[in-house]
Amino acid sequence: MWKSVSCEVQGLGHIRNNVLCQDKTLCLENNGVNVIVLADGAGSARLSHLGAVYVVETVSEFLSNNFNGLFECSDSVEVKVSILGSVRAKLREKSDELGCAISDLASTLLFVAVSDNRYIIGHIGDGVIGYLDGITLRVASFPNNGEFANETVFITSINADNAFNLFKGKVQSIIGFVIMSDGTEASLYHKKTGSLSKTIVRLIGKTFTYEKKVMESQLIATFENVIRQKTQDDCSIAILSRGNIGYDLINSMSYIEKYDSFKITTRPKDSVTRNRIKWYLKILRCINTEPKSIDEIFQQIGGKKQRLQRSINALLNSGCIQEKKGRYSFIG
Amino acid sequence: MYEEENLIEFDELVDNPTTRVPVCLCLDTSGSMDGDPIDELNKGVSMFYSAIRDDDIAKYAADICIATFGSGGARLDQDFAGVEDLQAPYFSAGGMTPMGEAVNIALDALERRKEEFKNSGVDYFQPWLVLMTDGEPNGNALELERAIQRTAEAVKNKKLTVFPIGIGSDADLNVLKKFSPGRTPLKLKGLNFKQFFEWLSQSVSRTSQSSPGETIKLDLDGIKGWGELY
Repeated sequence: MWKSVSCEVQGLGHIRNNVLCQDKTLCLENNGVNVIVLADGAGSARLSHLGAVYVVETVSEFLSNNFNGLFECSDSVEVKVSILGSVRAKLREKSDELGCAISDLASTLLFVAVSDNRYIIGHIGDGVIGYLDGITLRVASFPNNGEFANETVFITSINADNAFNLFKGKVQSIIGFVIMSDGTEASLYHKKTGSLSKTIVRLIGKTFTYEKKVMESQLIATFENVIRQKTQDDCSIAILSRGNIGYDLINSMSYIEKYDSFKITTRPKDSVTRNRIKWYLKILRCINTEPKSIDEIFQQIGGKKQRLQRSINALLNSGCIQEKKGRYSFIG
Repeated sequence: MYEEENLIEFDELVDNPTTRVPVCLCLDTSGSMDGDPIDELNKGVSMFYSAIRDDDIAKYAADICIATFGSGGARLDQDFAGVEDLQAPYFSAGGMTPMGEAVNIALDALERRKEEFKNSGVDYFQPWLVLMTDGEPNGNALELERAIQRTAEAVKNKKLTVFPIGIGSDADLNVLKKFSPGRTPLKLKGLNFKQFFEWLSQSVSRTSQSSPGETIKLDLDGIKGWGELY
């Protein structure tokens, strides 16, 4: 079962200048398809706050109504043309109604659609799309900026077709997806290394465990109090999750997936490696329900304390556990 | 209370560097600037640094370099850096007007800086080149030609914004024009350096707050406070 949340908050620059929030997000579950969509309206487009709404509504509806056909189509250009065609048709219709140019409704586009263990990811412009694969957080699509900070591609740009990143695949061990605008990027995406903040793992976990209403109100509070304080721009995010990192998830992985996740360097078939994986699982089961200190873990599972400390360090390095005030817990 | 509501705390945020606005000041400090002009230029640059430092956003975004042509030939007085911990340099007037050489030095510094930014994941806006002179260039003609070509091409390819500014009636308008296809050179009203640098700092501040897709509009009315068309 997939759960989704999203939020957008007006940027400090826009509050100061009395400009409406131009980031829009939407979560939709329709025809067995779960979709999250985000559009960041262009600062230079006078009605981009409306354009972004039309984009998220049209794309989510189009993906949920046509998922199977889009997924099965082997020609990615055809898929891009059909998605862009539906959005542009809507924007044309709306620009006629509003008496404006289609470019007045310009925005970026980021989406993830999931159905029956299959996903489609699409991205035009800046912002980031990431996913949690097992316990590893990865970037699916990087920001597409020009040389300068205020340059990007919009859905209405002439080169939008070429700049459209499109991926499809099997969900398999992926337990969550995240899409964010460039305002959020400033706080949750490390530009130099091209990697996402580990806090995303927690957000994916909580999207699954919290009630949607509770999660969304906490997300809005967090974005208002913390995320938008680092930028002048609007900030938005949408998350699609089907679980969180815990003992059950890791235990359900194949032997090789566990080996990869724990970042073990000894040969996979060595008996040393097998024993190490068993030992790591024992530690993880111990901290599954609540954070524990090393003494508490030691009391519960025994063994040698030095070895336990080394193993905990290795698990910290693997990124599946965290330490807070001397207590260890799953990173989610 | 916030601690309980927030899913993420400040200390967990990624620390990305502020997006920079690179500004090259390429300034005439030749002998003809002696007296009031050089004094006013010094006051203007000093005020520019203070105004940037006083602006909460611009102080982290502005990335300033200064090249001069005059006493000491053409040289890089200050390589690109933030103004926060820097004192404005002090210029004295003297020597010839090797403008081409100085512009090439400034453009080289800009290329190096952009490379540094790219390597360290720092975003930046389109750089600005402010070219101020009160005379006509008399350095190496080939260097001048190369500087004009490099600058005009960068402007044409939207890689650089140039502000050519003449000081007094002897400034060579035709040369300044060549550096700037599309933007007519402006003449500084009297010795209104202060007003010019005030306008420049405000423009840097505005640019540093713009977001992708936003067209950065220069405050044209503000220009009237310090400049006029030839």
